[in-house]
Amino acid sequence: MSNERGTTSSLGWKELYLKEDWWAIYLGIGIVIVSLIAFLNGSSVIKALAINPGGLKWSSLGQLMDHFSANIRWYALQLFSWLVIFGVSTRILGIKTSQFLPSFIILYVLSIIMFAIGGWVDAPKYNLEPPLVALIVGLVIANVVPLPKWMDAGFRVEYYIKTGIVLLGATFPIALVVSAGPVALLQATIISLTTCLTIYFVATKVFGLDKRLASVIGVGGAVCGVSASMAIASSVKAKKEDLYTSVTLVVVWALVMIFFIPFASKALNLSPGDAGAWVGTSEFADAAGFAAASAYGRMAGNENAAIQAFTLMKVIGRDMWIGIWSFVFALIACLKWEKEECGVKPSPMEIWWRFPKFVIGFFVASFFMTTITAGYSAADFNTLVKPGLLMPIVSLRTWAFIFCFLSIGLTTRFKDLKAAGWKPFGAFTIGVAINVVLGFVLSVFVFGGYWSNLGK
Amino acid sequence: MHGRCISCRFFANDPALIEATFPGLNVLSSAYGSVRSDAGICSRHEFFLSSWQRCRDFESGDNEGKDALLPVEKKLIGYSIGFGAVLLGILVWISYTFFPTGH
Repeated sequence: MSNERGTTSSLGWKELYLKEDWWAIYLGIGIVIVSLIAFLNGSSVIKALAINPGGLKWSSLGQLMDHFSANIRWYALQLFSWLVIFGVSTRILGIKTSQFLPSFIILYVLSIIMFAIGGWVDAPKYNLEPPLVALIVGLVIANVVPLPKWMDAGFRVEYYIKTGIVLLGATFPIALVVSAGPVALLQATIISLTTCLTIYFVATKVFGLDKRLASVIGVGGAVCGVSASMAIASSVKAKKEDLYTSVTLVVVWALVMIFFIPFASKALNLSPGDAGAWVGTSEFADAAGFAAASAYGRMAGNENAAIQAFTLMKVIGRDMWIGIWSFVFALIACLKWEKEECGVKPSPMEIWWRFPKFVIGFFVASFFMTTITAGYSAADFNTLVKPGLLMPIVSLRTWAFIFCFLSIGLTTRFKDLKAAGWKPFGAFTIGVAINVVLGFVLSVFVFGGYWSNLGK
Repeated sequence: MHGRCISCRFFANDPALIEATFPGLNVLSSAYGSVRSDAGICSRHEFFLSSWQRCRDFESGDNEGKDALLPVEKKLIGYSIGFGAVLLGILVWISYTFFPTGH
């Protein structure tokens, strides 16, 4: 809700409905509560609504068609439900509904095709993992078919992944968060500091780049890709070109890592937990990392372990650093780089303003569901709670992730990316190399015994 | 002391505008997320910066202090709550109609 000048006044409480992080929490927790109410009342409506063809193991097109014709009304109702919850929330965020609806319908149809490919009995034989297939299909469409820019209204990568992460929290035992949190934070601290300082010093001392650009690409490589770059750029008053450069570097390297880490992990025969932690340490964005972790987890036969390790490392470990780096660099910029120009010191509240709030939803969902399900015996949990409550939530989470993976591809138009320049590319690439090697050593050797036990 | 960027006429932080300005930003991020806070673009200096910053070229855009909800925002929230309540009713109806054995 901005004025004619394109400015929204100070957010304050408005953040509660003008930021997608909060909407991801509302949707995620809302879905969990509705699922719980249905489960407690013995209704299987959410189970039916959470349908997807991913687990069919079909071997002939006839089987697949039979499934769709038998469940067409549930798919129609499911599409309607997604349209309503995402349509209303994106409208409030300020995205045009007339643009969101047609593009989301296309996204939904493509997602069904991705699930169907994943449900083919021979899919694992050809490495047709839905996250990677969705990404490649999206990339091909976006760069071969001239999709109009307005269609990006429905390809909301971050919104879908945040909603999926909150739903993931509902199936994530809080005990695991508590026990694994310190290890994840320690590993994240080592990697965040090492990568950021490497890129920063190589950029400034070796390549002679501007400090602001160095800090923007340094934190982008160390913490959370484009989101972190955006936060740091605004904290240090970077030039627009600095952010262009970082966006290009992060997108290109993140796409490379989505494929490199899973296939390298396969070649090295890593456990899903180790590989998930490696992805969490060395991939640049949550969305890209979930694609990589999910793909390798499926290849290795334990998607849950890879996703759990990735989530602990990236979402809980590294993402926490965004606000801290923003505040530190804002202070440095204000007190050291522009003493005369700066009229006001940054507030420590910067850490909270920049905090990725959807993580709160993850914790709330985890705590809530762990508490609710604690009263069931192991037998009841496996025969009642798991199929009746948790599996539908897992299915809806998978839908949100597939929307996200397709959207990554569909929004990546290589010709639109600005050239980064070889010096920033060199500095960032050296940081990436150190990050990948250090991430591997930490995930497999230093803390490997810990990560490999996840999901067992 | 100069005014804050948020009140300056050269400052713009509409998320759609930011995503249109930085091609590729929405591939792995979003201008609608919390991490951006209310940062925006300064068209005078071509900076991307936080709204609390100040500079000597400040020119008032009369934007500060308008934190109250706009009428259209109030209407939108009202419609959303009403719509949600109706959908909840539909869900209950579906549950009782198609899954009567569960009740």
